[in-house]
Amino acid sequence: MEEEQESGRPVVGVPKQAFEAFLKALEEKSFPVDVISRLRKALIEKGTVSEPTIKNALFSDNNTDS
Amino acid sequence: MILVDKITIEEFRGIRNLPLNFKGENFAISGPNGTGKSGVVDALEFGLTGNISRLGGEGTGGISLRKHAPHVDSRDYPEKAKVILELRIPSLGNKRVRLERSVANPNNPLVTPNTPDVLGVLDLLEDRPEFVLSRRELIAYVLAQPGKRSEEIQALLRLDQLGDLRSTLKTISNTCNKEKIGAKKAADEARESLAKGLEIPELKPEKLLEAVNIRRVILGLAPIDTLTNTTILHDGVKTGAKGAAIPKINKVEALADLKTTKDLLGRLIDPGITGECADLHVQLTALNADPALLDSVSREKFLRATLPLIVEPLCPVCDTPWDIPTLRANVEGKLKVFEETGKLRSALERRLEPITDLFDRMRTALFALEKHAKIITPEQVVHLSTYRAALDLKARKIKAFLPLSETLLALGEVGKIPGDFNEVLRLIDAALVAIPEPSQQEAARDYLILCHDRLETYREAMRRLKKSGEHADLAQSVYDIYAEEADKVLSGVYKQVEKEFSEFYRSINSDDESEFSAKLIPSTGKVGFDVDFYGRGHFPPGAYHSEGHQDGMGLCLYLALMQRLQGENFTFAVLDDVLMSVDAGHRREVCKLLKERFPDTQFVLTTHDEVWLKHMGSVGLIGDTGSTRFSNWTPDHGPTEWSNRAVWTEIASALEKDDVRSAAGILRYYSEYLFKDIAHHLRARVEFRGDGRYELGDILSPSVASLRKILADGKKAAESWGHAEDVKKIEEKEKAITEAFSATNADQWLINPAIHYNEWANFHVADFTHVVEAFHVLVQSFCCDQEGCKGLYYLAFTAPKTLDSLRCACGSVNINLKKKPASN
Repeated sequence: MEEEQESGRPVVGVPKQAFEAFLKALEEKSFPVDVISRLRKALIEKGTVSEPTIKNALFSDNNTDS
Repeated sequence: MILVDKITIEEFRGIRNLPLNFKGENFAISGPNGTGKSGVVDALEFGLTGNISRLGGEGTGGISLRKHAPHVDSRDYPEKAKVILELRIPSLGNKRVRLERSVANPNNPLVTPNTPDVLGVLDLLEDRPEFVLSRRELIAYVLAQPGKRSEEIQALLRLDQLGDLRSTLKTISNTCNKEKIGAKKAADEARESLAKGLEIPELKPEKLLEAVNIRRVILGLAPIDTLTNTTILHDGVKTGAKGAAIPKINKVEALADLKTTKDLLGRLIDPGITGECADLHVQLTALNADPALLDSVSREKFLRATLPLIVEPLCPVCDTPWDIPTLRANVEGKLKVFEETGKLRSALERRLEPITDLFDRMRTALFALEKHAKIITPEQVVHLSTYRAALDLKARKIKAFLPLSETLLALGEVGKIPGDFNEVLRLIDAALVAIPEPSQQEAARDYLILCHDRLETYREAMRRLKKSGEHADLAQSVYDIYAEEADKVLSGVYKQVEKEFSEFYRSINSDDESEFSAKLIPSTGKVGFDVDFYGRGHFPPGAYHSEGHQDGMGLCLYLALMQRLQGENFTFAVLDDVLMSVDAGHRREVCKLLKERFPDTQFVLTTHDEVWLKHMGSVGLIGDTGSTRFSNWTPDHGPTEWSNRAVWTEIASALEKDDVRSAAGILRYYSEYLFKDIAHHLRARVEFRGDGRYELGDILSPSVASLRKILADGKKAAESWGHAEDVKKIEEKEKAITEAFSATNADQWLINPAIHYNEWANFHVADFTHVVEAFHVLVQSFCCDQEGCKGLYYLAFTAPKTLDSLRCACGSVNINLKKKPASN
């Protein structure tokens, strides 16, 4: 699936702190590197927390029907 | 983030043209209500963000930025309404930036230089209008309900992104769980279908291979030893163009589907099912006849349906904010009332489940049979599909439970099979029987093809089930980890804010609340806020503390939150008349707090209180040029700064137009403004007022008396030194002040109310002209007469507090007040 181009607000301050802590916790719990990488791109770089973007980040193909 | 050096406001809100030089330092704007202070606040917000928050929100319907931000006389020319800011950006090496924003094009300011680093900083500002704090917002932090406070604080800290991600992850997790349940059901159906196709009672690999290998032996194919994920059951069977033609209909499969349909039909009219339906019908009929009970069931069902929806701080339907714990507790409390009703309804629904399950399976069987009927008896398809649709409708009504009348109707028709339906099945049966019996080898081939097809369906269903399970597990664990980490970070933030808030508040109330502490108590969807009350315990801020203390708390909480939010980027804040209830003593401490704890933050403060302004100056929060005073405001001219205006010319101009009222207003407010300064500079003995609101009658006479006393002391000192010339000059000044004061009739105000300043507006022009002249002369008695100075007299002291002299700024007035020491 084509990667979503949506962009959100810049993530700064407390939300950034919380998102970074979340991603670090995923790393420590050995979650797949590609999932963490996509989540980082969505949350920190694009600043978007919309459902399609996060679903895409979690499942890569944005398809939970399969 | 930024410092503001200068703002120029043109045709904006109530302002026509106003430049203010902040010089990147703290700046105060004072003036009575309605003189244009808030216009400057709006201009700062608009200039930096392109928005004016006061023009949005509750109670501002019909007001828009484009229509109402321009000055009223330029309302049709939004391009004329503009704010020009000269900024510095400390994080970019104090880079200077010019930003010009017009109301006509608020989202596209002219920025010079418009380099990416500068634009990045300005973008952040646009997204953070919280640098403006008004008293309304300040009170919202302190006195709001916990849920509302949570919103306010979350908005300030930009925590909505945290809540949004939590909500998104929860939704994804719920969706995955639903999909997992659907996949499980599909896998079960595929498993059952495969077992039926294989004609084995239970789907086990060895049983499958046993059944399949019997057919493979018939076809002369090698048996399959092991069942793997890629095993092809009909491997080796000739199919398609190269082999025997595949029949259009698989007789074995079709007969099996027909049998399933007949079996299920038999179950629908089985006495066990019909008896259960009849019994349920009786109970539901009784329930339906009891309006109170029925109402309880309806309410209970509705309330139970709402609980899963109360997971986010907003109603999912109308976005109205709610306090999650309170609402959940409320719903759960109501559900307890319906506990018995709930149990009854759940029990009935559980008994109805086998019936709807039977309907579902019957619909699946009919659908399979329709595929065969389309080939061999197309005219029967409509009967099959009609019955299938009827079963679907009944199943949905029974699953919905309410309204009961519909459920009863559907339940009464469970065993009701369309009159001609058995004939339909008979005709399909006959058509299938008419198909020539396959040979043993053909049957074996059909069997293997059918079973492999169903095996593939089963494999795919299992793959989906596995994947959906993995997705559900991943989504759930990601949600759990996020919730834990976000809560940890939030708790830490709140702890830090709590600590800093308490420190700030203690510092402004060190005289009586040096042991003060506060508790910010975050929980899902709310933030509790309790503060210590003189060691008696922790209570909500509004419980016992005065309004003044609450104002102080609001400011301290704001500062603590901003410090947490922006850290070293907290370089600019506008405090719009935020401490109106704080008493004078504590204001001084507030000034110290702002000056000492936030040395790198530029504050722009507005106040209608002159005393507050003086505190800012005396504590050093603002410098000598760090303030302006608005005197009055008119639609034509906007706010007027006292320091810039030619007061006497304005009064004369008003009198020329017979406008005594305006002239009287200017004279009174200017005199009050000026004599407060004079009283301050000459240490006049003014009767103390706790609220610091001194009228002209309170300060004029003491100011005159003070100057007279100082001159008298100066004369004695000059005499003691034998300075006859100085004595003479002082006597001239004494005479001048006495005559000037007498001319104002101020000494008669108490005994002749007709000449009191409150009545000035009712004077005739000629009478008031005399008053103006007298006051003009009186004012001059307190000022240096040198052109280029004209400064007010002030007392000079030598350290620590020894009275030294009366002086003016240029030094041409310098009256020694120290007598020559007596010689022994």
